[in-house]
Amino acid sequence: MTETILEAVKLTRDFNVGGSLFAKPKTLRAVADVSLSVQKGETLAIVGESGCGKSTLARMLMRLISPTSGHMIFEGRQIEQAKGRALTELRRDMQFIFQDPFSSLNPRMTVGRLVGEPLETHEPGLSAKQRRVKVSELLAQVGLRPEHADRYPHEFSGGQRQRIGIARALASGPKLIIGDEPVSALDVSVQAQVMNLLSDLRDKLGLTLVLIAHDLAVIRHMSDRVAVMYLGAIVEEGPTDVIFAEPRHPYTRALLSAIPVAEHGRTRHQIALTGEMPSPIDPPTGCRFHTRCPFARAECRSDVPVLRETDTEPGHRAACHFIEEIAAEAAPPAPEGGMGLTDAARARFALYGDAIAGVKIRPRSET
Amino acid sequence: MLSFILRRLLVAIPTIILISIFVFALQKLLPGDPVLAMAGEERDPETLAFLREKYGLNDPIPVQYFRWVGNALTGDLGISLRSNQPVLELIGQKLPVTIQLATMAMIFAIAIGIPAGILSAIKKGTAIDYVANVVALSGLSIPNFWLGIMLILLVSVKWQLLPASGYVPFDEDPLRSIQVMIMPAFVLGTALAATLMRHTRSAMLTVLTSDYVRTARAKGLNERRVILKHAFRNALTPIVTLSALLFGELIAGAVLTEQIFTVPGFGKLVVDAVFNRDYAVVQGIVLVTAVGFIAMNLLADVAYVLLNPRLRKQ
Repeated sequence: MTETILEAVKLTRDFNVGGSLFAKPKTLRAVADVSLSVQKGETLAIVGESGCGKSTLARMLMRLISPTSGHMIFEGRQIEQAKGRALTELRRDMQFIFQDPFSSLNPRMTVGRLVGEPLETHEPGLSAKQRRVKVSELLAQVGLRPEHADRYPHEFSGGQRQRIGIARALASGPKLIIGDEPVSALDVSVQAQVMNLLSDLRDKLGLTLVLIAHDLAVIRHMSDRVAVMYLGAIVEEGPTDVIFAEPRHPYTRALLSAIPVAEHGRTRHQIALTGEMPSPIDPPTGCRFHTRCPFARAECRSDVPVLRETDTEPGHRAACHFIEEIAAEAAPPAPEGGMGLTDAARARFALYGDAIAGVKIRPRSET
Repeated sequence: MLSFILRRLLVAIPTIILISIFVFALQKLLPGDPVLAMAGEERDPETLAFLREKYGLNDPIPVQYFRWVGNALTGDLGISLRSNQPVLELIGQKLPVTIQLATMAMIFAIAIGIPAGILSAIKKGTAIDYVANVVALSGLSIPNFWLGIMLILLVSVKWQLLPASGYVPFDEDPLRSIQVMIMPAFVLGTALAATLMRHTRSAMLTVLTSDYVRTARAKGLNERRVILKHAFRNALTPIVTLSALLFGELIAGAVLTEQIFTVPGFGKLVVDAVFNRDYAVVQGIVLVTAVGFIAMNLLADVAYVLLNPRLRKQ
């Protein structure tokens, strides 16, 4: 369980924006010096608000775009420069599930061909007949019927299309699957089904999952570890339960308190963040979060905090100068109950848990 | 699929009726009395009356129209005033020449325009893209007649590589026939190739940034397959539509090109007929061209449906 399957070391990705014949383009640093490691068999969730660079990070990990600097190591191989055969092999072992199940399937191809195509590349030895059998198996695995193979993507609902996307990702027999907001384009009722399917498949096939998400309720039930991103950098990471129970970074605390709930009569104790997320073209000096942080002080404006271990559990790290103070203060101030999680949010988690309890969900020891 | 084709054919009928009315009206609206033209120097009232009676010109116009349509439906488009040959026979003689010219021009345009468009989309922003665009823009801007004359001067007169004009029927000597037709086809196809290239490029650029192309890359497919199977298939729809519409331009261009290279084709027949006020021939040609244009668009619609599974079941 502690074998590292994918490791990123100081990954950075810049984009040039603007710029014309006469103006030099500006540099937008979408991902800044991100280091993380994914253990074999675990589910790592990367969360953050839109524009924080999580999709860019996911695409870099998948090698759909290449990093400006930094290294990536997959099963001991360095992959940031992989090309040709090495890249094809990487694609076999590492697959991607896209956010939008409508636009990510080629409308001109039958489902059978869409799912069977990776087999043609990665298992060229299969005959057409064997491939059809394999496609039927893959479709069955995601809860679709073999006869669906002859239909076109437009004949399916969003949830079914995402299942097709998952079957396609599984076709090459990957060890690691990266999902870029795999359920955010779906109805809430369908989200739970698809998340369950993913967690079932992970257990059955021994997959490692990296999930990009912004819905914390989804993450809570799916992931072993969470990394929180803000403005291109990881501000806190740790075991899911610890992060949800005892967040140490002010941004994480604000995120958790913002989880909405539909329940009458509840008072929400929200930490309201003021202002917009600063532009990554011109990030703030010092701590990236200081412009919106309720705890911000003078040194936050000048010194960049690094990720460091907190007092809770090994592996729980946060990038804040005042982890200790926040820990001491954590109990009463912002969230009621002292667990960094409002009652309202907890209620929503419970609702979400109930909603998918009917379907199988991986048992998880609650703290 | 069959019912779709039948339905499209039914829709084509009113269009053809409209065109026939227009073509018929053309003859009636044009100044000049065809009877006078036919009678020539003889202005004897009796002869004129006889001719009017003979050609049914005293009947009410609707009656004349239906007679003309009835004849046209049985393949009788009238008789050329000039050569006294049946119009249909004249067209039948000239049409194969133009079809050969148009086909060769289209093959040339597709063979150059589409690969160039794909290449410049893939290499967007590079030197290849710029060169392709400049060449395409030149191809669009250079007038046919100038290009034709320059080619004749260079290739035929100076280098003596290809004949400057003439025509050899394809079934007589295929090789020679193609040889003679190369230059006219090139001239006719240049603008088409440029148009096709520009549209292929923009269609490919749209498709190449789509999510499913990204999916195809994530699958680990090689780039060739991503581009040809995933991207190009989807970019094909606008290209097919455009090709059908270009058919009209092809005919218009053929008129000019055939003049330059004195190819005895359909285009030359039109020009001659117009100069000679040979209305029956002009009418026949307009009708045949219009029907051909409708047929091409029908084919494009069918191809459209074949290419796009989303349209198939409706």
